[in-house]
Amino acid sequence: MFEIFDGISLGLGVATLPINLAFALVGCLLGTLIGVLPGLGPTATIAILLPITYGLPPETGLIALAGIYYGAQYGGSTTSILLRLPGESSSVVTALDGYEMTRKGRGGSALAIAALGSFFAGTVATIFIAVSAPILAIVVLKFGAPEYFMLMAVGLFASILLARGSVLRALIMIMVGLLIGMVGMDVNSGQYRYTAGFYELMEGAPFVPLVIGFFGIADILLSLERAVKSGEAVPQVGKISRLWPSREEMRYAAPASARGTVLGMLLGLLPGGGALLSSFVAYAAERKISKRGHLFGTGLPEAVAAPESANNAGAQTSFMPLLTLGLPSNAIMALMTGAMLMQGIVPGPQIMTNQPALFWGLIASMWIGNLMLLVINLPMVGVWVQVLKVKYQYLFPTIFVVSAIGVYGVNFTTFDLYLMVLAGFLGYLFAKWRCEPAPLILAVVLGPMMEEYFRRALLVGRGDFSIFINRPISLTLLIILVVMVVATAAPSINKFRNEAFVE
Amino acid sequence: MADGYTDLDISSGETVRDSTHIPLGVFSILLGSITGYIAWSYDIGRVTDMGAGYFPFVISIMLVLLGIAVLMRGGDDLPAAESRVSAVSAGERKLQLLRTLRVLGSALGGLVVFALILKPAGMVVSVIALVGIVSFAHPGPKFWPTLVLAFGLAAFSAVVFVILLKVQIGIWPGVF
Amino acid sequence: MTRLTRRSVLQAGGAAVAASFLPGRSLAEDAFPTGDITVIVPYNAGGMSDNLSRIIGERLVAMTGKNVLNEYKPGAGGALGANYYLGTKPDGHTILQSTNSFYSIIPIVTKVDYDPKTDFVPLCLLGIAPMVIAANPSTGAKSLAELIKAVKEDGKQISYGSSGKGTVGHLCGEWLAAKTGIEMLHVPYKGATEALQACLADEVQIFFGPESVESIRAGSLNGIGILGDAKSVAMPELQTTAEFGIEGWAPRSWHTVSILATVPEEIRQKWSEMLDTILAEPEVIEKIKLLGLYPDRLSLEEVRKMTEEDYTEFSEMLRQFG
Repeated sequence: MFEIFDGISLGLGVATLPINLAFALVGCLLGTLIGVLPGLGPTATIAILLPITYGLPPETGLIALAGIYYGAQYGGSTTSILLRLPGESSSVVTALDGYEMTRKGRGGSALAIAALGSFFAGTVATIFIAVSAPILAIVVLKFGAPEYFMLMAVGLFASILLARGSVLRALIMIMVGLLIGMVGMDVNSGQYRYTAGFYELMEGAPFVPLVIGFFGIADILLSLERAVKSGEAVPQVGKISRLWPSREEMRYAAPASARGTVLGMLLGLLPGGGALLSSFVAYAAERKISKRGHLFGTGLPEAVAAPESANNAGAQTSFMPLLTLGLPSNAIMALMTGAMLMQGIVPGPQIMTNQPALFWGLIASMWIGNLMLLVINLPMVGVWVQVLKVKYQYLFPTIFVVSAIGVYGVNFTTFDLYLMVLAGFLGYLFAKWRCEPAPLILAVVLGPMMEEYFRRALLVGRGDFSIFINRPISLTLLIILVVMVVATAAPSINKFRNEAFVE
Repeated sequence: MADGYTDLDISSGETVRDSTHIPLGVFSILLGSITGYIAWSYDIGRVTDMGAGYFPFVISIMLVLLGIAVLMRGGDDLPAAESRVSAVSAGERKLQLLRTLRVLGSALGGLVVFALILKPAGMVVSVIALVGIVSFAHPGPKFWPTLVLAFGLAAFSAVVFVILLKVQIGIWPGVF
Repeated sequence: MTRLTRRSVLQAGGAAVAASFLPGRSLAEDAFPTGDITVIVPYNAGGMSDNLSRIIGERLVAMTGKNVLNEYKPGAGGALGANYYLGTKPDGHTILQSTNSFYSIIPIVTKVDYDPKTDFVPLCLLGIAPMVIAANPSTGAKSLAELIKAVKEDGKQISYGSSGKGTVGHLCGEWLAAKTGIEMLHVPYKGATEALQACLADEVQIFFGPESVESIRAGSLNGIGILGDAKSVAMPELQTTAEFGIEGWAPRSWHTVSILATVPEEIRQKWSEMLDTILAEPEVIEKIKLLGLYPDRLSLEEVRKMTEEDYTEFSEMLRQFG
């Protein structure tokens, strides 16, 4: 136990060095900016700015890069909430209720809840990491293909719950999403599917253009259409009342934030999981647990708190596989590996013992970074809210410009822009046909993963289905899934039986 | 309930059945058929040894079935509040269609033009073009404010994206 | 402060202008490169190729004073990036970070726009990736012989993970299985990291590649051998397959920097010189070793020979396995 205290004090010592504080701040500011700008993400920016870290001491470089990463999580929720335009893919879910809160005039409150929730999650996650770093390594390794599949299945089923309105149409959205997710190379067979000869699709349909198109562009098209039809300008979003959450809102948001944090922490550990998955699952879980579940989507504070906490917790814990096992859990971690290697540090299980200053310094700086972000973002709420006062006539071209450049800035191919236009058009059609984009986006993410893990589980188990039942975690998740299905279907079954008896 | 889903009420005050299930159903059936057809050409395999085509094929079939189900339900699947929309006369409908086309054309068209000219024309020109075209998607576009906005955004983008964030886009034409 | 008269300023200015006409200046004008350098990395950011390119890139910036920018075009095992590179201007300012796989493996497996024998020219060899054979301790095997015994006599079912169908990792497994007469099930993953993680978790038992070195050092995996006939510099205690008794060519992976064949000869020469200088620096050698590769100072001729050898052997293998 005492080594942990030693470690923490060492870490705080490192993290509070003026140069590290300065670079943490730079990283956070930069990250926030990137997060706010739709499309452009931390991956591209970190890749470009990496060489700047060569001349810096290793801890400083990593602290700066890390700041960019979780700074982006904070920033991404801003446009999600105010404009229904997710700045980061992990902020997609925040847009669902966050935007609705803005329309009710509670946008400032939503932003504050997002910031507070993220800070809370960041703090807890950092403590969690500090305390249990070695144990985490073992937990991560227990997750194999069957466990991942079960997890995805639970998540996908949860997405059906995300639907308001017609379940039938939500299912169609899921199917379309799954098909979009199929585009690209199939890992298990090496076969390229649905690429129609486009090189750009060979790695899969790029996620960012889809998200911006389906959510942001489609929404703008609808608003514009309404305006043109009625001949009036798009009305200002409802007056912003108070900027700070009310006591009642906090009462709902706080426990949701706690639950989201726990989920995010755990899911962030899993490679391939991370912030995006955490936010979706947290939203769905919160909806299931909450007594006001049926009101989700109308602008409930807890529906913002849960995913925001989850995605920040997930972002923090996604550092873990890298720091404990030397395995990067996503592209950004892989870039961090590169940064370390350039400094002559080899990431691996030894890093905690060989480079304690780096390890603990990074962890301590994560918390400081979160604090900085809270301090930066809370006052900014007042500023951001002014954005809403801009006349829509000038706001929407701005959104178009920033989104277009942001999307282009990810892969530097105009193909992505055309895809965004197509997604925007389809999103518009789907909205007209009374379907919602959320289940579609989730399916795009989860679908291919589910398929990959299912087939791999069977491959490893050599065709034997019992692999799903023989392993404890997989079995547990399977039971959860069955319970969820039954719990959701039960009311309908009852209704059916009642109606049958009436006849 | 999220906005954008209810049609505009410029009408007689009567309500009719919402008919959006028709295009949705047709779309689903068509899409499912196409993807299913393509999936068939990939190796399908069995459940225990799935090929590349198994999953897409199953999904495609389900999509077609769902499309049929939506058509058959005839709009009943929607919650009560959404299943009625305002009736609109034929003339109104034509006008609405034209207005929709105006919005879609300018907004999406502007983005397409942006994508087409970005590389050769550079950021400044492309942004100005984008703002200019897209401004027609809103009622009552005004020349001078739009122009100022266009130049302002072009300058902003050049500074923030290219200089600050080092995104690789040429600012001026031909510089690539 | 000395009086800055207009005259003194003009004199200084004139002197400077005159100086720019001196012979020393004209030599500098011949200097290549004249603009920023772009490196096309046909793999994901953060991967082995990316890290290698950054090591070289850092030194290039110091040497030329120009910016070096990485462009990522991952896909199709490297073919996507290579195809893309074919369409760039042959002015010598764009180079390709390459591995032997898209000279020797990919063209056989996928349809590509480029001819691996004529369109690209390797400029230098960066390093060879030792295909270390790592086994999960659950196999109970600490050497190649023990592994074979575990499969043949104890009837253990072994599978190995790779970064995808048709990658070097996959082919290593097929090769080893064929040469030793044991059966190993191939399980493809989306990258070397995932495959390594799966091996650590005992989802698969074997992993081929240099990425496992750290885990072997930490004791989480057993190092049971290395493919080929060269001992690993990092882990000299590993038995090579040649020592074990398997003669001849073994699948291998190595990294180079390539350039379009259409780039003028003098520019290619300049590149070779610059890269050779960089690769001779001890710091660079250290960093390459840290990545797990070992830098081998082979001449371009030998590199060409290796490429052709690989192409023939891999074609043969792939033909046999379909």
